[in-house]
Amino acid sequence: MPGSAWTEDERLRRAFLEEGDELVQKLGESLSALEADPGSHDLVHEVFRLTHSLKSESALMGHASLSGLAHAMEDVLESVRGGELALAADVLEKLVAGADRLALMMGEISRGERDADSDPSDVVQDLRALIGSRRGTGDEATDGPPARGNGAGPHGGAAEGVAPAEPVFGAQEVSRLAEARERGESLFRVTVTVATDEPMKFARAFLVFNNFEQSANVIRAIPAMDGEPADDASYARTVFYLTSAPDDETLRAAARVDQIAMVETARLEFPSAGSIGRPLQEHYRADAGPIASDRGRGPGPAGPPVEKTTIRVDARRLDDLWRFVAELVLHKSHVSRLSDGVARGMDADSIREELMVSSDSLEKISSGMQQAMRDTRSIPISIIFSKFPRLVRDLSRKLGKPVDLVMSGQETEIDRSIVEALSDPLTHIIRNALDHGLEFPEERVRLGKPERGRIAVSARRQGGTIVIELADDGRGLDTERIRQKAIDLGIPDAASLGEADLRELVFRPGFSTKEVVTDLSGRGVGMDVVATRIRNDLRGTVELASETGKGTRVVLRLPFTLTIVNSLLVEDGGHLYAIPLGDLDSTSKVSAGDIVLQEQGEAGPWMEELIPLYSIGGLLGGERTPREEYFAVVLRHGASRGLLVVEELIEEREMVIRPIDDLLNTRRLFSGVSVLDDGRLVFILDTSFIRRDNF
Amino acid sequence: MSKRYVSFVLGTGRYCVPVDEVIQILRPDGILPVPKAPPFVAGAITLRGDVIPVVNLTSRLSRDADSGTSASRARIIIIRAGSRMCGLSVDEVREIVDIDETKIQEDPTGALGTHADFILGVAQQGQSLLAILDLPRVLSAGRNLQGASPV
Repeated sequence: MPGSAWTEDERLRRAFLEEGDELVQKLGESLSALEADPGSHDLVHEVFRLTHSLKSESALMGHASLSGLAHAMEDVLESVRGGELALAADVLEKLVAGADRLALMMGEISRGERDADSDPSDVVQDLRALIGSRRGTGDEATDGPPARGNGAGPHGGAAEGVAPAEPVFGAQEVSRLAEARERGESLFRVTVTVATDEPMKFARAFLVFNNFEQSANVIRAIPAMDGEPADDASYARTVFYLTSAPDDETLRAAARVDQIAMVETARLEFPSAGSIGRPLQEHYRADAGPIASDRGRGPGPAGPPVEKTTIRVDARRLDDLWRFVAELVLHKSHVSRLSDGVARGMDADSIREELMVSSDSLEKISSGMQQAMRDTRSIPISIIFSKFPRLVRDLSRKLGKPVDLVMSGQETEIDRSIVEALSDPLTHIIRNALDHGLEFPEERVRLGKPERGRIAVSARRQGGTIVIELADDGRGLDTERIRQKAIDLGIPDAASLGEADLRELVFRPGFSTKEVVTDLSGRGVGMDVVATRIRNDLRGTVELASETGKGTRVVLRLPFTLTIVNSLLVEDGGHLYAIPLGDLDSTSKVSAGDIVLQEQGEAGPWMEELIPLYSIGGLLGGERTPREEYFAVVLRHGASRGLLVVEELIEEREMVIRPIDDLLNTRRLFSGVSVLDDGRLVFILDTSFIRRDNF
Repeated sequence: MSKRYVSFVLGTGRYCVPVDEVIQILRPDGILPVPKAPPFVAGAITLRGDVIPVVNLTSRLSRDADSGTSASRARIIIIRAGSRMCGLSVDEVREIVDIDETKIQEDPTGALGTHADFILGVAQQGQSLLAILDLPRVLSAGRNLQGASPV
């Protein structure tokens, strides 16, 4: 099992990173939504829930700063929910700053940096300042023991002496206690004191709580561990009431957590059934002394750096893949039975027949698996789009240009491999649209446009292509100014260039200078970088459409994946062709005398039998060029084999395959086309033309 | 509603395509040969990694080649039709014209003759008649092709 190579810690770490990333991303989205609709209680609650989850998850993993920050945000949201704090712009801003920092820290953690490397205390302070005095007094009012964090140093706990008053157990708790007694368990009170230098006290206490949950029944924790947590400082000392086996060794083991300074266990009498509502009498034996915990320093080593090595996959896709695997196993055993058959002297004809069937199926299975695997690798484009609301809001605020962002097609799937390369160009285009495309509100009003600008981002799948459109309703490209600029730069034919040509100039390096006041002219990096990324790196296209005064639309078309196929390059009749190595069995030579004409067409010798023989000329509707001897390529398609005679075998090489237009492929002989470095075209042969009937 | 078109010359006729569909206008250099393309396909050109077919419009519209036009004015108009891109070889690119959609008529005089199939309509432009190309039809591989695809 590949998974077993990971330690449990590492497995948890990965799970945390994945979960955490998603939480941070959703948090950003929800905050954006909240900014648009600050009055929404649902959204406040959603943001609260997300920060709460982040807090707990990161605390569990020992990421104290991260958890502390999430906690600070949670506190602010708590105050908002409680009506103590109005959700004013500055409050939202600080929350957004917090979310930003959380994202940054998650990134650091996933790269293997220590949590402590990034200090969010500035942001935490800002957040705390929002609720400042109000929260300061509330802490001690909880029903738990007084927060005695200051006195509870590594060795100071025992001196506290005074045992807390036992709580009143509710009906449910009492019945759980009764059950525990039936099972022969004992009731313990375990007081856990966190080291004073630990900034994230809740995190530590929670770890202990979690361990207890494995080996004991926690009846109650004070302060509470679930539900709405109290302030972090309250967890400096946490009291657990729990039942477990009378031997409390497991409890001691469970409490051995880094940064736990002291654990005191005390065995208590079970409350009598009649004691509901009355304080539990304080009867405990003092036989359980303090346990000195292993006081590690902070979180352990962060483990090896991890780049996004874990992926979330739709279970249905794994099911698809699994079906193929099941079929594969079936055919594998079929093939091994056949090989046994060979050993037992089974007759050749039936073996061959069965092998053909299996070979055919294996072909289908492997291409099916390829497809299923590709699906597994794909991811919704929302992973990129989800950053845009923030980007647009921040820029819109900075530039003083109110704008509405409309997004659609976020569910469109793209290959994981292009996510990174695609993110920057899209961001750049949006930035440009805001910066240069959209007019200021006054100008828009003067022009009779809505005061708020509009940016629309959409994605869709079109065959094997992803189409992404980014449109604004700004001033559009001023093609005449571009023309003037082109003339100034001495670009040939500038005076007579068409609109599309002029727009294309924007993508030229060095063209977009500030003199050309257009939508997409830039500062520093310009559209030429966008064009290079999309066209060269991603093998896509990028085009601009624009109407002066009405807006600009940028259309990107990207291949779903970059298809690179290792192929054998051959030449025939002055054209280059390539045969993907997967469709190639071997190469050989065929002399003209060995070619025979059969009913269905020509055939040639291969492995002591005759198989169909083709020439490219013949396939294209012409004739085979007569020769004495031919180079031949043995092609395969499923279980079928065919000889293809060609003039020259050139070499094997990797080729990037582009789609081929129907007009260039009227005989459906090619599966694609590739362009060599010297500009020559290579037509990729689709071997499905091989006749099956001859075999 | 008026729409803008790029007008061009083929022999003695004048045609146009919507500006919005025009991606680029190129000199007819670097047309690469393609094995056994239909007669009206002049070859292919590469544009930013894409391989784009070039349609010889004169041949596609069954017009007689006119020797009167100067080769130096010949251009390829790269257009988009749906998700496809295609080049149209023309004798000369003229200008951008606004055509009111209400002024577009079906061939009123029958002047278009045999290639009416490829024309959406005509519009009077000054003294001449501009024929608006039906791009999807011009680019369809299914028409006027000899021989269907093998098996």
